[in-house]
Amino acid sequence: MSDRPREDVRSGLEAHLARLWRYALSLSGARDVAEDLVQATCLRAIERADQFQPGTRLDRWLFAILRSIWLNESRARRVRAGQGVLDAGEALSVDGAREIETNISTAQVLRAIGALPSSQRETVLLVYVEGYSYREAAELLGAPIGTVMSRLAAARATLTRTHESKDA
Amino acid sequence: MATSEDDDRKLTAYLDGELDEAERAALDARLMDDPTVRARLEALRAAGDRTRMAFATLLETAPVADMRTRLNAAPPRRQRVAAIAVAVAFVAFAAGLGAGRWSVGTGGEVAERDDWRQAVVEYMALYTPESFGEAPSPRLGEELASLSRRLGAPLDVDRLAVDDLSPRRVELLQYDGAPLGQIGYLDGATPVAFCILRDGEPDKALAASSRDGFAFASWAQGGRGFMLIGKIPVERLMALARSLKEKTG
Repeated sequence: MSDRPREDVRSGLEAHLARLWRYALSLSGARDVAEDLVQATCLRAIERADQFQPGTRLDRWLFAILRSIWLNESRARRVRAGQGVLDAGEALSVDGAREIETNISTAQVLRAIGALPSSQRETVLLVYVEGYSYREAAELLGAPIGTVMSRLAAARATLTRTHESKDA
Repeated sequence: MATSEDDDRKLTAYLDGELDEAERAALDARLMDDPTVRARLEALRAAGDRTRMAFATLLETAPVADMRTRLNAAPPRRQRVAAIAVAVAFVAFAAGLGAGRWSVGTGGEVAERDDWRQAVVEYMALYTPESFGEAPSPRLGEELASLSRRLGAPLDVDRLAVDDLSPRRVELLQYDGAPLGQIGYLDGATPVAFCILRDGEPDKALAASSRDGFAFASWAQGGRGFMLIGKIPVERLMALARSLKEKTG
């Protein structure tokens, strides 16, 4: 009876593993950290399954858990991404051309994304990839909507320059 | 006039559909008048499109199997016993999420994985005729062979040529851990995409529908989901879909 929410969350979260990992990678900039972060998120979600409201989006709830674990962890370890401790640019790039059978420039774009300040990278992922509205992103990030907009504009501007310099 | 950081913010919000009506109207007027602003808008748009594409590729490299194994190694708590009940509950949950915003076919039934079709519709809205290239990809044969392996479906240039259309571009995307292949065509100047999701979808008859100005045909067979989509008349789309279904089935 009391296990029902737990089972629902446990079975539901499998469908979101890849996207959770991508978010974790965007935050941490390191593949192994990302995997640990997803595992911690899953365990905590199962543990707190009774706090999940059926009918709301499980993926969004998981994202919020992942983010809070990351913030606590990184505070504890003082390895906040974006302070140059982790080389996000390296870690975000996909290993080996074999992974990309479609688009050669994708690896370059990923490197440029990896080189963005982590706050911009996270906001870009949430809004452009995960479909958060400005308001939803602002809520999750605990930042004003104007900040969300500025980060997105700055990220787009940087990625525009990356493309121009690559063509030059 | 050069554009400023403030312009970038406005143009970004414009692209993201986050400006209010008055701001949008003001920007529309500037876009009409000022080619510099227009060019900047296009550059920012392209940067966003590339970003989405790159993140989609990243998903493909996620170590899903490892993560699943680790998760399953965690203390079980009677998971197996309730496996069937859980599966049923999950289907109900997924259907609840999808209800009202997505249905395919005549029964109004919401299939578990139909969200990928919605994702394709949203993605298609980003395409222009240029997206599918001036000329067919020179490595089309190799790309199709590779896609064929990933999807476990027989795909080659002959099978994919229907009516007067032939494939121009091949892309491997991904939806929720399953490979999603996309073959791009141009019907005149209109992008048309044939998408295949390698997934455990139950067989479903060919049915047409429309959404956001797109006509699309969808079906599922042999464990794979198929979809043909484009802003072309639905009769034409269905005729193309029938040929594709026959040749790739």
